[in-house]
Amino acid sequence: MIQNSLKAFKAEWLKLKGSGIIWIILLMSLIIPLIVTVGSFFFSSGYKDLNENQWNTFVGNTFSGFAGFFYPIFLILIVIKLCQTEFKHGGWKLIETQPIHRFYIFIGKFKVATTLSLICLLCFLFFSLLGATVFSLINSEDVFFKQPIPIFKLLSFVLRLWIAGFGLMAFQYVLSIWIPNFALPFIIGFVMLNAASILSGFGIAKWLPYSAPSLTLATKDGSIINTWLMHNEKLSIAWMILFLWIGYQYFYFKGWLNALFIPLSKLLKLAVAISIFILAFWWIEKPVVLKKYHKTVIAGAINSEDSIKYDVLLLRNSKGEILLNVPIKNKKFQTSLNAELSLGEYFLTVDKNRFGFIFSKYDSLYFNISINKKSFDVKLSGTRIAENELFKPKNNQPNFDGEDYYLRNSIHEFSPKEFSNKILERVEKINKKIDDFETSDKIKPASDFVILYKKLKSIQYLNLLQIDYPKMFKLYHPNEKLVYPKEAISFQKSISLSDTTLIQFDSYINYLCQIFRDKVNIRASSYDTSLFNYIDLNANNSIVKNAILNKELSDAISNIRDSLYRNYLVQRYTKNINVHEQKNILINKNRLQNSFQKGRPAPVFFAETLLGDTISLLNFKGRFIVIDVWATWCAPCKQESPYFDDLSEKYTSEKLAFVSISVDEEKYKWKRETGDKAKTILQLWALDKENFTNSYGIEGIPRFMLINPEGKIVNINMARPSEEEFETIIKREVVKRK
Amino acid sequence: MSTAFAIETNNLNYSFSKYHKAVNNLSLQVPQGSIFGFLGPNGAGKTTTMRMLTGILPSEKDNIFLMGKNLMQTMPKVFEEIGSLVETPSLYLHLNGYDNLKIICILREIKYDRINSILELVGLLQDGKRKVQEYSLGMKQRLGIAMALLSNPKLLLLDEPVNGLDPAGIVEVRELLKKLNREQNITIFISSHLLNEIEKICTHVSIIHKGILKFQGKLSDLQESEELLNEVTFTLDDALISESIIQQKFNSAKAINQKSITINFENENEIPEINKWLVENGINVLGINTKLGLEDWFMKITSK
Repeated sequence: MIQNSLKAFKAEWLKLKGSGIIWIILLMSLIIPLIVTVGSFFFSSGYKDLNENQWNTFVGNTFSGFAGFFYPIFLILIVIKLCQTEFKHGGWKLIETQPIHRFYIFIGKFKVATTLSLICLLCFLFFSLLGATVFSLINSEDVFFKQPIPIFKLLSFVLRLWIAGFGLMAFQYVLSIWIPNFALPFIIGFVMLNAASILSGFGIAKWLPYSAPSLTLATKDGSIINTWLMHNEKLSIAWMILFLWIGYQYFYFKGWLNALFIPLSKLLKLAVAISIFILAFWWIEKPVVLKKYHKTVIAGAINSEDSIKYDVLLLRNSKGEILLNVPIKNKKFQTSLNAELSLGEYFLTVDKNRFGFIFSKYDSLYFNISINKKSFDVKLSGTRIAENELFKPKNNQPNFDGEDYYLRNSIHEFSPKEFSNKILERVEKINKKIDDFETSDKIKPASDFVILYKKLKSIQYLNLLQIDYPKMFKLYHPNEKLVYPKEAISFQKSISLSDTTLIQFDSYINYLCQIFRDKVNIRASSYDTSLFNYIDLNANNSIVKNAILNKELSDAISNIRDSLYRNYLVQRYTKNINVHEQKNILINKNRLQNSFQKGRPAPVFFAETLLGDTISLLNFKGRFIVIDVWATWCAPCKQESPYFDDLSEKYTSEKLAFVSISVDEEKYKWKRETGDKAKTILQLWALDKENFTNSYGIEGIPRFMLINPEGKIVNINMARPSEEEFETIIKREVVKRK
Repeated sequence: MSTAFAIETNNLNYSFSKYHKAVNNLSLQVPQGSIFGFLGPNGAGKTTTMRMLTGILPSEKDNIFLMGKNLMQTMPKVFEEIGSLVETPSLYLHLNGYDNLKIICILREIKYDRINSILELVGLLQDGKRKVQEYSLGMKQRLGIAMALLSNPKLLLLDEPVNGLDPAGIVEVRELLKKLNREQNITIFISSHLLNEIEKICTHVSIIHKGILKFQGKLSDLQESEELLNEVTFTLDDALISESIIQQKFNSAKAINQKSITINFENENEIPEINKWLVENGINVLGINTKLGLEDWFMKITSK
């Protein structure tokens, strides 16, 4: 059998000689890498990002112009060409009168077609890598030679793309054997290819064999669960087997009637074949919900150039409540937990990097973490893949939704009925999206998360319905009472004010805080005791009460500048919080705030000047300094910058220095943006950013601080330069002082 | 089945449409070692039969036996002993002659050294490395025969093998086939629409018309066929015009071409009387022949 299939293959291969197929392959595999390489000189910002493997990026660029359209066209072409070789000169009757079974001939020809397609893909990969090499030789700035070629990864992708072409090749093969001319099978293939790409753009009929190469391209890095082939590639094999079977029947019996329908037993066989295919289709395409594990496990590996200083920490929430320390051994960590973990967002910290993820009891997650100077990248695998992907869409999927933006911005244009209808429409649409969601591996999120996530999404819209719209309504129609239709009321009621499953999510807590504030009529950023008293009395669930109090107190500590009142609030209301951890965090936070009180010594920091010298707080002894903490990525900082510039020109003196400290990660970005700032400001770049921001309790920027000539704090969190108060403080604390 | 026949078919049928049978109850018996002429005008069903004998067109019943083996059941192994050339030779024009033969060598597991000797046999040794698209029609035909002969078959099926050859080529092929039959005892089944071609090399002949077998047997039997003796052929000025006049007297009269008309008789004595009647009725008799040439007879059968 092997000998026969070898013979058939060898004979078919010989027929390629002088047929020009090698030129088609060369042309196909050369032209796009050439265009991409040349184009890179003109249009690309270069391949400088060390975070991504640039070989991979370059090859990705070339294949993205090839795999979805030109490659399938190439497949269609070679299959037709191979069959035309026989039609043109009556070759069928020659090979059919040889002492070799038609099956081998039929399969041998298909094997030649698949071999040619593999050669084409490998040539394409080779020319892509060659293009990248040429580009990097000429553009020596780029990072190609600092990185290895990820050859196994690329080969794996190429092989998957190869397999993804099998289904459409087999279909074209049947067409080309049936229809003895060149044009018709080509037109059919061309139309099918375009139709499939349009349909799959709408999310319809992605299972068509013509869509498979595009799907493989879209999942270039492969499956996140442990299968090599993605579902579309498995399906491509199933299509191939079906089409080859049908095509062979036709080829053997010469005509569709005799092949598949007459006598009845053949029809029966056809029915069986199609049933088997449908079963396979169902098995391959059915979505999976991953099963729970029998333990709760957190494990992972860290790939980092620098050593990791601290244990990995598992946090219960964004407030920093530590659940567990996980020691790292040989860049790996693993632990199992016995705690009752409700489904929610948990956080993992690796030194200063933090990663949020969806987790619950009896889940097992593996974190593949890679850290370098500029980036922190986590790849998840385990029981909550789909949930995490739904919760945090991948970078390439836009999170921005135009309809929400429109709704928010034209809120005043709608009547209550219209607005609530719009909101309900949106909610319904989004719920459907959540129901339909599956990962590229066809994994669906578990039902507990689907329920939770729908609630979270609803909260976004409840905010509009309950907070934003009423606010607007009051302003525009001061004498009217806002009445929503029944449906909107029942939607409001669908999210309970004491839903403990949502307690870990800031958006829910913020929503509750807003509701409570509305009820006692206290505006945001005001922290009246009546608010706390009301929460204390009216929250009907102790867990919810804890969470709201915790959030409001934490905000109060950050925002209240009057230390007497702040200390009172903390002392009075932390008593009502019954989670020990939370209480401690609040008390510590308050203690830190107190340490920044006027007259306390300012923590020492070190920074670099534009000339490259190191400077510290001690260098400013004898002068007041106003410090502006900023970064190039911070837009509000840039808004404040001109005011700060003007004031520096006005007030810089022997007595007072203006200092800007950047907390940028990259020095060059800081340097690049300091050019157009006032010369009266000393530009610095913080050297130990982590220490600097922690010791000054900097949670957000811009931040403005005033320190006196003895190195003591005058004001740790000043008003912004754009506010009048800023200048008032300067005048009061510096200018008027002897 | 007896192995005495290289080809045997039992009531072979094939129709392309409901109302037209291309092959109608055809039962062939081709003795081993014979050169068998399969004769019929264009469209008689020769090629359809050829295609069925080579399995290119499948027969619905198991009624074809090649070298004593059931074709449909032993396909494709049965082709080990059979070389065939159906219709125009199947050649890959973008390849050279050598590579065309090499393909057959691969599929039939023949050593490549055989290629040159077969090229020499068909007189193409000089042209082996040339692309087939540069070949003349005759060269292509000879290459086709070479491909059929490559595996030393015991049975050779050739469809119109001298089609398109020049007279010298025709003679060459004819001699080649005779030699193969004589020296290697190969049974050769040749289809043709040219009687004189068949006449010159065949030992046996069968005649097919509109899918129906009209005659089968030794060539010598055909020449002595009984039926011929009951017919007289008159060569006339214009047989077509005179036909109706003669038919009034002799209703078996039938014009077989422009100048010949046949009339049946029961006794040889009738011939001078017919002649006398013709002359008396003003029809010029240019010649009288009691025996038909094979050609005329063939024409007669196939014009019915």
